[in-house]
Amino acid sequence: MSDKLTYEDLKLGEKAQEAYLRGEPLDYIRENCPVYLNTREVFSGLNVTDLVVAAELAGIPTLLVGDTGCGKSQLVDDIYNAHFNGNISQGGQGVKIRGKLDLDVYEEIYTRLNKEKLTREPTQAVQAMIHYLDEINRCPSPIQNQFFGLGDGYLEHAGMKLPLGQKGYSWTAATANLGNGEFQGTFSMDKALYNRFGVAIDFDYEMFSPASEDEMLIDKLRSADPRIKQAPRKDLTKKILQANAEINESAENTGLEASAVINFLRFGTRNCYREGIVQRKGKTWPINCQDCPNNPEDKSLCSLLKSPQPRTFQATLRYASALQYILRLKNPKAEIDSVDLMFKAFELTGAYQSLLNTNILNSDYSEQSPLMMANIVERLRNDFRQNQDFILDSLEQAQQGAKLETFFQSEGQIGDYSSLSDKAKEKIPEINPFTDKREIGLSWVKEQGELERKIREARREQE
Amino acid sequence: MTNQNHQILGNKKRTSRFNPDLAEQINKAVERGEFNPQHTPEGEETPRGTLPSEDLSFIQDQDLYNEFREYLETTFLPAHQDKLSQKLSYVNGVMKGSNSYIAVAMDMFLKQQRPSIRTATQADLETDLQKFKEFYVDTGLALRNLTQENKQQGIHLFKQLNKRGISERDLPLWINLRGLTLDNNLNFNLTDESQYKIAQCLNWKLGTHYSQTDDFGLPTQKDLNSSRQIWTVNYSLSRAYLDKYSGLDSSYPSLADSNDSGRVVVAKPRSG
Repeated sequence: MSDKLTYEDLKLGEKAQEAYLRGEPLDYIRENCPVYLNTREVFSGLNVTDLVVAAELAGIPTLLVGDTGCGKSQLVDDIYNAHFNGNISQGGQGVKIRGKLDLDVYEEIYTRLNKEKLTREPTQAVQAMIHYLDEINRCPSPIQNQFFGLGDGYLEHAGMKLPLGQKGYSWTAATANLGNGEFQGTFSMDKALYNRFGVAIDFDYEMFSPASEDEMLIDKLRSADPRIKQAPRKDLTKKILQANAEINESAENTGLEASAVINFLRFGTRNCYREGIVQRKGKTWPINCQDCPNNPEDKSLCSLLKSPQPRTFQATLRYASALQYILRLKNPKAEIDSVDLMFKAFELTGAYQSLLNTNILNSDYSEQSPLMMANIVERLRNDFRQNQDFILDSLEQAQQGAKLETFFQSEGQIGDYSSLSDKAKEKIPEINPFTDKREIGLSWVKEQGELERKIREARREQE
Repeated sequence: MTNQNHQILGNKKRTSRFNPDLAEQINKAVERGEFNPQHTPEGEETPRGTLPSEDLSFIQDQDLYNEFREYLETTFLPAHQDKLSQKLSYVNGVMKGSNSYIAVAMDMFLKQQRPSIRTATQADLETDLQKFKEFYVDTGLALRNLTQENKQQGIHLFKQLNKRGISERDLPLWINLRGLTLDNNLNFNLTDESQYKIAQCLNWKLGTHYSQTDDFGLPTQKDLNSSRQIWTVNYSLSRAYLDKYSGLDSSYPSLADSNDSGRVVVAKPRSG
């Protein structure tokens, strides 16, 4: 059997769907196929299930949010069984933890008492590859703090950091009901904990909820029992480890376009553009946007979003790489635009990372972070597209040792303004795109160009 | 043009507009005296005369407001009222709320029922900017391409423009809201009165400062010393309006959004 993962391996409810359509009896389907089915397309032929599986393959901690019955627990449960062979105590690779008031993950799950030495020592649960936290917000905030380590990929024990999982891979997946107090016995989640979950998907939004056809088919396939159904157990961990290694490799060598998008998001969104002043967003952001003359109608991009933390853009890169990986599994001939891919990955990794202007989030979006994030990312993507040729050609020239920072335009083409003769310059206006006197700063392009030239020079000297 | 692909993430080839030889070609053309700056045809339609500022007013007559609401509710489908009548209110003696659809619908209404007044154009507003501080007033549409945000509406308009000799190369285009009509699907349609203009300022950099305007009320040259700014973005079809800081905003994709700062301004032609 090949160690190479296939899309067929990863399918969940789609296996049941296919079996039903080819006329397999229901008993066969219930015994042999996973359950969760959500084929709603989100991006380039990837559906909602693919989004979660991509996070799984990348090992990015994932939070699934939604109303009771939306299928979030069934989805993780299916992956837990059908990809990781169930619980580690039963020969699988998973640990499942259910949120409760007095949960102590260290005492109950990850350490046990050695009665001879009278010390606590780690259990094999530390090595589990999937750590499934069900209904995480049924734990009070102090208990939730225990999950920080799970989100970071390690546990602290006796002053040491014990890495979770095996061979550098583990996946923490959590579910939560977030309903503004709608659910009794739930607690609010700390922003710092949200930040640990690189991908968050809220099934209460139509863009992530199963298509009606999926729900109808599930009704046909399964009995009217609302409890979680157990998918057949299968161990894909060897293949998942290989996939994870490939994803990490491409995330570390993303290429020019993806790194330009990351820097656009990272440095461009730091920009605070008040009239005549170019500066970084400070502690007064976004309060100081309210009287900013460059923020008419409270909709300037700089006023809506702050710069992501390293944790977020690292997750964005890995997630983009994972989305590409799964897209290629699904359709090897798929044409993937790296700019679209990066912005979509940012939209899905950034929604709950406390990047958004909370005043606008509350007043204009009724606290619906994914909606606000989607709108902002669309505008960011358009702004990048508008300047894409300037940015990418400048960086490309820098990698070849040349400096290209000013441009001119003629008959639909752009050229290097600095190469024009003085006589020509009199007739043609200069375009100077790499400025911070705009909502999303672009001066970082000059800095990245300078760095690229230095790297090239250093390498040439070594040769 | 280069056609580079440095992507590891992604596999779609990028097509760049950068031509490394362009500067040299231009230098030679300039030396030979053959270079002319890119032809930018302007003024396909000549706007009618600008009205005196004293004849510009908000909708303050409550009867007029009520008639307009009734017109909206009887002319357009109930499903569209969330973009039309439901965006309007009459508070403290003035109609509040505006968007691209409302401004066009108002012009249709006035033409039919109060032909002595029409909605104001951007050029009309330029005659008394102070009067409109703190408000936004929808005056136009910016058509830039046929591929980005609002492309369906952009394509619908472009097909009509194309029949009038406008090609894709001529974009960006400014279209006055006055003189357009709406159909049952809230598509914008040209009429014999429609006024439009190829306007390179719609592709200026976001936030460019300007002071002078042309006969359509559009910026003619950049002016770093001016506080007025034009806001641009590369959408297919954007709404365009005088913003509350006297800037020209053509960067907003939602044609239907409206709030209490929105005003519809009407203009009364000079009597006699």
